[in-house]
Amino acid sequence: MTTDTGSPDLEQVAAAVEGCPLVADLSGGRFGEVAAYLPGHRIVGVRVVGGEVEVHVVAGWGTPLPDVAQAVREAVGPAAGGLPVAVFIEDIVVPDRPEGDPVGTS
Amino acid sequence: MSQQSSTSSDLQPANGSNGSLVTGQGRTSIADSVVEKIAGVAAREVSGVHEMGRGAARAFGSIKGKLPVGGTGPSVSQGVKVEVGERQAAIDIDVVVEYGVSIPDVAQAVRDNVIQRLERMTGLQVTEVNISVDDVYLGDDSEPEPPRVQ
Repeated sequence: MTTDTGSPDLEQVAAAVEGCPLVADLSGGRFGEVAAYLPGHRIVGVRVVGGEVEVHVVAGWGTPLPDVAQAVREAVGPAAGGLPVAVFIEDIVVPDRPEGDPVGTS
Repeated sequence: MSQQSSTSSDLQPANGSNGSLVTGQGRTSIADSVVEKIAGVAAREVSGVHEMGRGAARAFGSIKGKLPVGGTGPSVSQGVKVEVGERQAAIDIDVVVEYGVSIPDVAQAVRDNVIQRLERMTGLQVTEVNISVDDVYLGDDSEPEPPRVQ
């Protein structure tokens, strides 16, 4: 984990993302390995790689994903310490049983 | 369905500043499984689509759905395969249609709905949607017939 230029505060990043209404949850990636490994604990779903703050999320249903990503970026804001924020939509919450649902009610 | 996304040009791939996946403040990456789920939901919404997936997947899906542990029925992405690039996606879908529908019409409706949903929700441009109709559903013959005499 690199910490240069105005090092990002990952705890704050994670808290900001979790508070974002369009995000269902932070995601540890397919294997659960995406996390910031800190002494004593880890923060799932955020890390700094190659000068980028990566945020891995599970999106809620119903909002275009670019808008979700934009909302995440805005929520993170200054907590990223000026680094670009790469948003990874790892999963999406699907509404209950779309089958048998009349068209377009989800 | 939802709000803010766009003006009248819903099918326009998101090249504009707003819906774009590649922005000045960082990139956005969408996992394949997300695209699969959205395509699966969109395809199932179309009336005339009975089920999705090839024979084996459907069999496993229904077994999985009966397991006590983690059985949430067949997953919404069953029957969907995607290839996702940075800006574009290509989709393959396996469906079972109901008997009595016009298959070309249903296929076209599935294609339109999948493209519209995906382009609006992901900002990816959908280059193709290939649909293969694997079976026709003839009705539920496991249902016992009502007795003929009371």
